Amino acid sequence: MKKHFVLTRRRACWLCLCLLCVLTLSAVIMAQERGPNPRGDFWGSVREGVSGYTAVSSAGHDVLIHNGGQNWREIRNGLIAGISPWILAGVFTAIMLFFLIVGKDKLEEPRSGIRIARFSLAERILHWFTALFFIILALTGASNLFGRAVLIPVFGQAPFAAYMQWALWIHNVSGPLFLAGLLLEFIIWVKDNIPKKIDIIWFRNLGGMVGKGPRPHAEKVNGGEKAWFWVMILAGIVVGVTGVILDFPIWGQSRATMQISHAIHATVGLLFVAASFGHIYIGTIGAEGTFEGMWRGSVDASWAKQHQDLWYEHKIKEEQA
Amino acid sequence: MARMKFLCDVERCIECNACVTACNNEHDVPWDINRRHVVTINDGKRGEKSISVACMHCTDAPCAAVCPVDCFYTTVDGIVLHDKDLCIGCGYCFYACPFGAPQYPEQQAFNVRGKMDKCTFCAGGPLPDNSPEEYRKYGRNRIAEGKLPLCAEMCSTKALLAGDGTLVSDIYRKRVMKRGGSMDFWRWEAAYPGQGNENRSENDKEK
Amino acid sequence: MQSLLRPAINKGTDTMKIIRSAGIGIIAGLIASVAVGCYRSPNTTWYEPHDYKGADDPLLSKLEQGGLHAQLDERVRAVQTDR
Repeated sequence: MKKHFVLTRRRACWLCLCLLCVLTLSAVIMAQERGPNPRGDFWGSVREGVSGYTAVSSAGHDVLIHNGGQNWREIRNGLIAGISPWILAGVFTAIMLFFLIVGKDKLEEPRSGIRIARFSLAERILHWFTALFFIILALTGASNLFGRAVLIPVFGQAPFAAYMQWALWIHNVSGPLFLAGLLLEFIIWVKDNIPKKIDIIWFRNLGGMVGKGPRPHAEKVNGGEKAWFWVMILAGIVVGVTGVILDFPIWGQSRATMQISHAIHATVGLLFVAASFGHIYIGTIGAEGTFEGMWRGSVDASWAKQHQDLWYEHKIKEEQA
Repeated sequence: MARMKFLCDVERCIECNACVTACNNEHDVPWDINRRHVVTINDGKRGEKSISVACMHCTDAPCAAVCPVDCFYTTVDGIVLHDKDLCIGCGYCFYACPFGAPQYPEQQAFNVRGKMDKCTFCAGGPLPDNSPEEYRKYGRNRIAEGKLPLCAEMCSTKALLAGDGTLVSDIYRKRVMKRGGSMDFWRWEAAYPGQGNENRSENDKEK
Repeated sequence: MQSLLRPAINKGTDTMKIIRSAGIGIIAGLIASVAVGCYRSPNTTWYEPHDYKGADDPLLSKLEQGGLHAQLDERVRAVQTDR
């Protein structure tokens, strides 16, 4: 009886290995046979971006062909502009679905009428200063990336260019102010935001937002708020530093540095905006009574007991003492 | 439709930088902007090559692709032009261009760059041809007058060619055929045909 | 005061499962979106003349009439060819 050839996994592996060997060997032989080609090698090296001499020494003119530009274009126009709208829309939709399905995190006990001070006036001013510049930067930055596709068809080219001229200037001036606000926030709030074991339990319980049962413990700042704090600080520093590199082209940074900085700036900036949707949701419509803390500076005792029980107890003890 | 092209014959370019000077003068460009520049590769070594570069009027122009305000446009002959009234001076075309063509009159803190300036193939911009405003913003519009870019027209060795791509490549093809593919068509062999290498200095011999 | 402290109950493996599957979903989504974004059409972008909405350039219509192009070609032959 004739035995049929069966392609087992092992045989397939050997086949692939043999094919690879043949390919490598033929490539080596071909490379040897080609021999030197001075003129071809000369222009090949130019294509790879070697530098020469030029009497016109404006930035980067000694290099005939800069290859980085095409890579940057692919990253900005393809990767960043192509994916980020989906991420932004996805996060927004997820939050809206969460709101529709799970709903608002309401106060479990009726309002007690007792106010507990949460954020001082200085803290609130700093928060809203930074928030204002964050929103300005997000809107002007998004206009820069998506305006050509979204705003030009709506408003026409000349009005959009006139707006964009201002938007760019505002973006460039707001950036350092935002970075300053962010660093100040880090200084005044870092002491409350050191990650602890209690935060892991908080996350395991999904912050008590989903389902029934007792809520996880939390001090003045719960696990979710801490997570946002560190996302904000890290993303803010990355966006801020790369932004400053782009904002001050007077220190002799090369075009390659600015291309890389721009790619990082746009990517992290857009993810930062996506993450901020969660913070804005939970601070406004997501959880009842939260907004008062940052707007009026005080929260209701029932809210404190529900969301930050350990902090509440600490405050009560302070009050009694 | 054929497209307008620049071509620099590297066997002819002698790095005199006259194209740069002529361009700066013709268009009265701001100080420190050079729409054209000459790069010498292997400068001072045997086989050095010089090439004059400006905007290459790409078919798939990266500057036009990344411009946030879409201020670039292409003429029917493939000349890439831009509108300085729309330009916001963001610097993106400078990041994207492989040839370093886009330049800015300023470079200050807070990314203040002014309006981008680049080679227009001597075709001005979106303003009445050869009006004072067009001259002030974009320089002379020679194409509208039926003339070709000045850099190419005045090149003393005719290394730099500009015009309809088919005509330019025709001229270049004839040159290459005449040279017969030899690297040495204008050196020793051309000056002293059939004399061999005996009198040739060591430094000048083919490596 | 101690009585106010509520026991922190670990909701157990179900929650962890949700978190884990959500994490896998997010990572898979990110990989998929990066893969989609990396795709590049092999076609060359042609910026067609007049694909521009800004101010009008009178040169464009002049060039389209064709007479100017012939004049420019004549110019190439006159000043660019080898003498």
